Amino acid sequence: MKILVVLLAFIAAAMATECDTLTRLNVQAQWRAAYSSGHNREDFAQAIWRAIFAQAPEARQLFHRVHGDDTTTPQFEAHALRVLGGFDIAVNTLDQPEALKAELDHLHKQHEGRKIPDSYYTAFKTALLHILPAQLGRCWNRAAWDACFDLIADGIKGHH
Amino acid sequence: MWYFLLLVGLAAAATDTRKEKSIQYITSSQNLHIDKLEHDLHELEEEFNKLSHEVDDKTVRQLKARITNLEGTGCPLHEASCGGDVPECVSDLLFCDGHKDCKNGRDENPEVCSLAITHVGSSYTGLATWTGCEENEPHHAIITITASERKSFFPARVWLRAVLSFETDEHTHTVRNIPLRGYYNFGRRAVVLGPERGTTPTYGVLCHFNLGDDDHADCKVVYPASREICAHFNAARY
Repeated sequence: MKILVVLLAFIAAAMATECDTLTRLNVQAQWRAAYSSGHNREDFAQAIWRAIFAQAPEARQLFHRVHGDDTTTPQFEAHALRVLGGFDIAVNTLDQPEALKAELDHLHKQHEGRKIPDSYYTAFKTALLHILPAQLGRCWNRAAWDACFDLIADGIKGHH
Repeated sequence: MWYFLLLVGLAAAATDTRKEKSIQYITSSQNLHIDKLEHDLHELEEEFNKLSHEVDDKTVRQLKARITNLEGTGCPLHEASCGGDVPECVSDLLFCDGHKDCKNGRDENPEVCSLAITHVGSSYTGLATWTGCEENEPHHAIITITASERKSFFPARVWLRAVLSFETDEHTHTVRNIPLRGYYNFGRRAVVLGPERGTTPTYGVLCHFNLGDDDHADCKVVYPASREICAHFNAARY
């Protein structure tokens, strides 16, 4: 019986990818390729935000201050790049738990009090999980991103 | 008095028939003249038909496409050309997403955003020549789209499932079928396919529909990780 339980636990662990050390390195490498640079980074950010607002149009209200009603305005582009900049720090510190904790706490402070429903984080995740493979074309590990994104989002939300 | 009237009447009738006859004569000679003209025209037409015919639109489109391919777009990685008179490159993540990003709006042009290539059941086939990976004689390779999905919140890609089939033995007719998944990229007019989830990675397929229409593509069978080219084939829809 005990053996069976242990076996089942092993199978479960093998099936559900966790955001473990190797997975984090995997995510980091893929992020580096997708995040790119220059114009390309602006367009990558633009595509992500269009996909978020297409899923949750009412979320635009939260971005009124940064011209969220038109994602192509310089104000919003700047905001979009700033957001990806924060996300970039989080991804790049995935292998340094203390630095990651500090960054996530910082982001948590910036977001708390803004009344962001969990569904908006889900919209962000869904957008990212579609635009990343579109950008990468191959060598895309969905399960790894699924796990590690949740870790980052939970850190910003302050709860699971 | 009555007698005189009758005479006049008869005379009139006589001149009437003569006039009619002459009119008939003129009419028939005019008709003959027209017939001759028609005959001459036919002869000219026949001579004209013997000259080579005008080139059909399809050939011109394909030629123009080949010239465009040779010229190149000058667009960097991840970007595609807007086409038109003034050259402009736009991210392929922003094509066909409902927002005009090209100055000429061509990234939202119905022709550019046509879904014809991705229709389920579309098959593209050609004679594959292997240059690596396997020791195969040239043989037919077929890619068939088995499923397609376009997410409303991210319409710049059409996610695809497909099967790559090719004959491995001509005598026993052994056919290998490889399930693939990937997407269609509107901007680059490319179908990009890699191994289906949970299958051992053997081959991937890259097809560029850069030959001027939705029915012809330049396809490569590649190793999914390195994109090293294994085989090449010019595919046509059937």
